[in-house]
Amino acid sequence: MLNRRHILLGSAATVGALSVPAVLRAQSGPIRIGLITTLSGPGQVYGQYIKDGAELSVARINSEGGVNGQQIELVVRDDKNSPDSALAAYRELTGSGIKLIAQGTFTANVLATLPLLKDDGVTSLVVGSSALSVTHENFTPNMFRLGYSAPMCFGGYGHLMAERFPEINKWALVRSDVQALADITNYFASGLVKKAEADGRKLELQEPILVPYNGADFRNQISQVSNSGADGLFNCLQGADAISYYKQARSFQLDKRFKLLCDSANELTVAKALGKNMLESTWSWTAWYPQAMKDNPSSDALHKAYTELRNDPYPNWYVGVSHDCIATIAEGIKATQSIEAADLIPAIENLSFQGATGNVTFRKEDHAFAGDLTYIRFGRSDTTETGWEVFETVHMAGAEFLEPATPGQKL
Amino acid sequence: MLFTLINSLTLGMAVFLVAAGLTLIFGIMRILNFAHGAFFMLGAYLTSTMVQDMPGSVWILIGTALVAGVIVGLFGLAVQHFVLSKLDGIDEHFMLIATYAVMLMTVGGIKSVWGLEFHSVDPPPGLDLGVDIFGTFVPSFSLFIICAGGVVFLILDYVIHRSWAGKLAVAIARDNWTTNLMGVNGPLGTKIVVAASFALAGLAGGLLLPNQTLSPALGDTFLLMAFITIVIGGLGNIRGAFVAALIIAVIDGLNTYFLPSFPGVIIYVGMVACLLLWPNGILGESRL
Repeated sequence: MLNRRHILLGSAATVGALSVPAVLRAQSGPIRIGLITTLSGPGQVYGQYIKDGAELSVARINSEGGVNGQQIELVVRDDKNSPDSALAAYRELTGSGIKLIAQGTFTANVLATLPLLKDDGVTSLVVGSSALSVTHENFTPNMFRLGYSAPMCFGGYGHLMAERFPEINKWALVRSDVQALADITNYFASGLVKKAEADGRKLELQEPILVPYNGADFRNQISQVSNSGADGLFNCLQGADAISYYKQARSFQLDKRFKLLCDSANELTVAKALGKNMLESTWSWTAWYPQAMKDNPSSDALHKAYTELRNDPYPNWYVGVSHDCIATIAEGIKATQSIEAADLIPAIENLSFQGATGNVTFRKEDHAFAGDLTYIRFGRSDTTETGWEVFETVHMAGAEFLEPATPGQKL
Repeated sequence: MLFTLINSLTLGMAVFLVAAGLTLIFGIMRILNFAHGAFFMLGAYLTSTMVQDMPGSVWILIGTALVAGVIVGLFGLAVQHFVLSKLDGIDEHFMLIATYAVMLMTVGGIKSVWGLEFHSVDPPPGLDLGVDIFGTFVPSFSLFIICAGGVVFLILDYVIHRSWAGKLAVAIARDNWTTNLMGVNGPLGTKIVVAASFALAGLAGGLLLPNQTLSPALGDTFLLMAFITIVIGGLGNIRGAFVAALIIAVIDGLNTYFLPSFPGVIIYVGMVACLLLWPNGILGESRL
């Protein structure tokens, strides 16, 4: 029979349970992290990399005993490369009590969920979304962007090229006719010009030559750029467009017409597809090139695990960045013993740890990634089985190339 | 300018190769086949499996593309048997939905078998560089595509308009019931045309393979232009598709030459203009 003593005991137990940190309350089950990414439709190939990286990160953390003794469970949902589906997946995950989300690939899908994070008390790590608005006019303190910030990556890229190749003064630019790639081209050009001007040089940058997105034939534009008279060429096309462009450019011997070729961000995807018909030499930005990071145990372990999983020793950079998204959440929980956004956000703001992609750290004001930058030069090789090899790797600190922080306002 | 025109001709013939099968199946069965791009892609993947990284010669490329075409044609027969024949006589909108479903299934199957990664197949030796024509550099593979498109058009035009089989197909398309009464096996004729339409998609995929990147999105690249082609040319009209493919390609080339800041936009303006001038297509809608 229920008496006054039972009621008092019950009340005390309830108050006690509510007063301990959230993570302890959930100790009976694993820490659940939602992953929203593109697993069907255009962009699926990148979503698969993101899923692989996140799953390998969870497997590694769990095999090392979990976070503060708790295992992590990854709950994966497909955004179908549509903001509506991303939002539906987000509502489903948060409706089931999940407060930790990793999300990518494309900006439009990320923007669909951003306004809800704060009210829902969700902490979100974003991979692959390059648009400035994510850390500016659409900024929310509950989101951190990892790995990819266009001004930093491509401003730094332009700076590096101007620094390494002062003899290249005339540049041609080729890009697909989409806004994200226009931004990337502009940041690269801006990085080039700033560095050249700082060194007292004046560069000639030609108007970008535009090619249709998801196009079938690029020969008119290839002919145009071949006759441009420039010494340096920056190609800003993505995925299949980039590979078809390089294939069709082969008969024009594009790599012999320019002293310096720069691909924006297709990194080894181009070399893996073109094989022995790879360009003689080109540069590319990448967020992760594990072969040059053998002294980084986290990178090395992820590389081995991925190679085992996919039988592919050259993983895409998305694998490394999505791995680090989960690692960042885990490091934050370790530091604060909580999964609540109010505790986790300041903890992540103050984090600085070695992830698979290098130093992981964020700018406090707008949560933009402020870690390391990596650039690789690779090309055709007669001495390797693949028909290509990476000739050199350059690591740079990224923070100095970040745009000014204006959280909540347009830059 | 000469280069732009030659390149326009290349693109036109590439688009015609894809559009030929699309217009053929519309001509006889009134089906706007949404799955056509997926079967074009299947032809490309099948050819890549046969030739690996590079076909040993032009003839090996043509031979493997033909084999891929035959295999895709057999897939077409299966689609006809299990899907299209069941929807015969009902509203055309259901056909659209059915072929869309077939497209999703085909793309899903391709992803399962060949994966999501990008692949590339090189042109065969002799087609990987270029030649000089009146002082203008022209890639050899462009000339190959132009020849391939021209030959496919001539064969199709002869078969449809001159041969006994083509005349039979036209009869079936115009009045299946009466043709049946006269002892012609209409359903068999329909099956042959559907298989030929799918086979053309597979053949186009194989022939254009060294020009494109293999990825599960390959079908989308050409499908939209193929649809524009058959609309401008006149639905179901093979000669119309040929003329329209050339017009579209020339418009695209002039677009690149005179308005390089707006790539691919003028095609749509051209399509609107053509439809205003010829609402039923340049050579008129036709049942073959």
